[in-house]
Amino acid sequence: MGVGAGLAPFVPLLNASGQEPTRPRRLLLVFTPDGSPDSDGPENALDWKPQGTETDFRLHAIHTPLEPWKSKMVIPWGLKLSAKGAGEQHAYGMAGLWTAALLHDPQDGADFDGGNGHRTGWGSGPSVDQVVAAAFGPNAPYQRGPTDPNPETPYRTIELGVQCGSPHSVYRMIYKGDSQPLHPETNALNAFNRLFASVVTDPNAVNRKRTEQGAIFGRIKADLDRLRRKTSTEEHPKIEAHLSGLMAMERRLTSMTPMVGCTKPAAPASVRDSNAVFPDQITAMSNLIVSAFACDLTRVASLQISRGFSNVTHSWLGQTTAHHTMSHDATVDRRPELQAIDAWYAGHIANLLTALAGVNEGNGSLLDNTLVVCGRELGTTSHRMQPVPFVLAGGAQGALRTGRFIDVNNEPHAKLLVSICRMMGVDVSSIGNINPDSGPLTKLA
Amino acid sequence: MPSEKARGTRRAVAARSAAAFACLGAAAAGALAGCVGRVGSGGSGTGTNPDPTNPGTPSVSELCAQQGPALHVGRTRLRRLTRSQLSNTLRDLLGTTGNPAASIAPDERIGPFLSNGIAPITDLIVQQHQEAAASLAVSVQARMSEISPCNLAADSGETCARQFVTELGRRAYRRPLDAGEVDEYVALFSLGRSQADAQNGFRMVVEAVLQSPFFLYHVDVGSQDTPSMTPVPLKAHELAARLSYFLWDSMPDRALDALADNGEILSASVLTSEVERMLADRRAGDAIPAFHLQWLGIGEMDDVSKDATLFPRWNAELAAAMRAETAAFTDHVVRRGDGLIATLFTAPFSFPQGPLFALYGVTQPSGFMAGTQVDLDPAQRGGVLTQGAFLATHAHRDQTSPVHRGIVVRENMLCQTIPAPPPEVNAGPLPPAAGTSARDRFAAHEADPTCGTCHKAMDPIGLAFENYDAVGAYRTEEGGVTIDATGEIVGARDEAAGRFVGAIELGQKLAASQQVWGCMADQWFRFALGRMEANDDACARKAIHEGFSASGGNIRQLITALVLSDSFRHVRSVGGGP
Repeated sequence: MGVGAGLAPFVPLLNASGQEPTRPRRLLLVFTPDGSPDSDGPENALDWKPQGTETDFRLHAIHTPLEPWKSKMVIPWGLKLSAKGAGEQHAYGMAGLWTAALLHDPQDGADFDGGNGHRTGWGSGPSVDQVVAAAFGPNAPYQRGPTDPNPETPYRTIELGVQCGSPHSVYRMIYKGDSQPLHPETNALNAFNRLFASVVTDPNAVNRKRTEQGAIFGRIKADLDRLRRKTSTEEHPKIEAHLSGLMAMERRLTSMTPMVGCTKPAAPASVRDSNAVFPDQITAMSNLIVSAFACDLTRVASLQISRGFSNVTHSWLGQTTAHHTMSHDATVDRRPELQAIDAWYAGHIANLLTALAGVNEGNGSLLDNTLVVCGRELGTTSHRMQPVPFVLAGGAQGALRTGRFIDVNNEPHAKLLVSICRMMGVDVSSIGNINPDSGPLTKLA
Repeated sequence: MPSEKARGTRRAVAARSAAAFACLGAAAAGALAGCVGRVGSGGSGTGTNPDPTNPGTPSVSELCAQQGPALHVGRTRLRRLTRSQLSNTLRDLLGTTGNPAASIAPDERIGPFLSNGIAPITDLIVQQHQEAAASLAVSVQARMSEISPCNLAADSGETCARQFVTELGRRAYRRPLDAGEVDEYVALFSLGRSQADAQNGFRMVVEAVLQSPFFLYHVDVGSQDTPSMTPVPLKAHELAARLSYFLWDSMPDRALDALADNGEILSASVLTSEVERMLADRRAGDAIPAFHLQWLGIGEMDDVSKDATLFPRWNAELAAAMRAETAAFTDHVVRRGDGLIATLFTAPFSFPQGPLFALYGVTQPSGFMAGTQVDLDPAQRGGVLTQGAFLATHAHRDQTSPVHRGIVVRENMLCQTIPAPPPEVNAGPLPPAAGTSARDRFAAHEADPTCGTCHKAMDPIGLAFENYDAVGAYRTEEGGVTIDATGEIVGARDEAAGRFVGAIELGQKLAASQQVWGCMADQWFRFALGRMEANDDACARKAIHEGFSASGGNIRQLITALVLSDSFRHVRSVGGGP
């Protein structure tokens, strides 16, 4: 079933004068687990390299479901993850994927098994989505300029995930800052209720809710202030973080505008995590992100599908061994099965692109206004950090020149993260602390 | 920078070398002394004797002696309630049922135990708490007259509102509200009433209370009411709350509230008798099994999956029965039985139910009811390490895992860590096949000079469990090969060290080891305080170890010694690391 199935049609958001406003750029980061299977060594690791020229090329089998979207994509071949630090590759690959920052040794009580007993703390972020969401600019998702008809959204960023596990360095990829992991919402129904069902539209009800919720939040803020005075400064970051969450909810209260012309999506089913429901959960979360973008509830989102050391068993592909276990099978050549997994994830990404393209935003589609970046915590299943099968898709309002495969063999992926920022209208030359001042990926331009 | 050697290794792995364990790579083989380390930030031994594997490391006694006469305790951090604490507290505060905290993001861990004391809260989790609070407040609106001590609807003034917020706040905050807090809640109630009716004011108060940081966090400030660099005694209300979250995984009841209000809880004798009363209460039936399940590394078990062809009897009902068995067994031993650590490790009886009888090969006694004690074959079953939940959790989908079983014993029972294997080692076990046993398949570990260094610390313990398959069924052969369950503990500090045969003997060995007793005491310390022990806790830990030891290894006495210790009754909130 495609991502779009079950969605009510979206009507473009109209501004007060009825004219079509310039729609903002959106950024979506998508994680799928583990590396792609190796060939017979790094010198010969051509497994998934597209064949042909930059603009006339054939996708590898792991990308075949993306064939219809080739003209809206860029495949960068050969990037090497700017990821290092404590733990082993699954761990620092997760921490570095969107941050290009080191994974800390255990510190300040954070102490995780980063694989085979290597202990780690949290990553030293922030991740690129948080950097983009915190910035303003005429071409950024958040503009705060004269052309921005709606300078703020209810959520600066939304982090969604499917079966991402408990707080752990191998299971988290989004960081607000150094040692500040952001946990994804993994319950689709709860996310739906938060984003769509709880939105009040009747003006009288809006006013009453503002008054009542505002008073409740005021009461809690007074207690946070009391607690701050009783607590050592070493614990104040926890109090400030709590206050930040409260103020974000307060902001939503005062900027509670009805979603003009934007239809609520259908509610996802209430399910309990299990291997069997994994595919449906991916679809449900993908739907939510498309709707959240379409309704301008946020402009920056991430979707984490499974986690480092993914132990999903892809039984719908006829498999009986879990993904990570299979990736290290020393006795049987599992590459065909591992490539089938990769292609299956590519199919979900293709569905997501289809749904984004199905939302008309005036001059183009939601996909044309969005940059989708798909990444993984490893290059290959044998823990090489290169070549990581990144996929870029969407138009980013023309900032991404699509329909290409580019050879960027052995370039640090920190450059890609810098390029992501620039395509999102955020002018930086450095992301993270592993390849500082890397500048952008010039071949992407 | 990948060296040529590392590249070669990669190639070998990528080419799927037939070697079962690609334990090649960089690290040089060293002595086991360089391999077995220690859990914990304190860096001190868990036993009272110095650690022969780390000769430079002082024992708890030595550390305590170094600290001189001044009182030292580790730093208390601001911790948010865990999900189970939140659900249990809501049950005891408002009479709610179910698991209302299930919608909150999962808890962090400290060591093997759930505790939210490290990472700051996130915007999402703040909102999840808001949503849970709002939904609960609406759901209890209809029970306003039951929850409020007076008739809120009948009083158009503030008298009843003041009484209501004072009483609800007292219980929710685990301390009396100050005047300003009461005034603010009364104002909130009045606002809500003015918007609609008294029920709306009631709802708003409940919704705010359930989101207050004084409800959501363990707030320990101490008797000086200001953060202190030196240890200060907890206030009576703080001590009562710390005690109830330890023993009940929930808020204090009214009896404990009273002892906090009149300050009597601060007396050692009252504290001791409260421990006895609370352990006898059914609410301890939440916390005591929770300790043991987390200590044994047993989770919800709904994510433990087994190969359906090899293990057709594995299903959700069996998994649930296993978890319930270990919960019931540990709860029985600690709260109603002899309380001895030896019994936990060796008892030839348990509390199986449903499909576990078949797995254990035991006939269900006539007139059996869930919770009935059942004798098991003492040659096959003895204590927690031979119960299904432990054995099935620490096993692969298609075979046992001597490595995982060994690691849990090494880390959680001996309190020693296994450090990193060399980089680029990433091989799973060989699949089970006719004519091979796990011992054959894992022999490559020990034969390899690099792997063997550290795997000596785990595999020889784990291989002693080979009489139990991946779902915990007893067996005497695997793949046509008769099982050799010989085991060995190397690098332990005392009588735990040495050779043995089978999990039954392993249990006996662990039960007799002072290192294991010291480790058990430290695990309870971490569970009770939601933090790792620090060097500053050395004297408290020494007192707890000695109390436990003097009782002959009685967990109830361990709990009492822990509650009476300086670390439990004091707080230090500034400086000195986590």
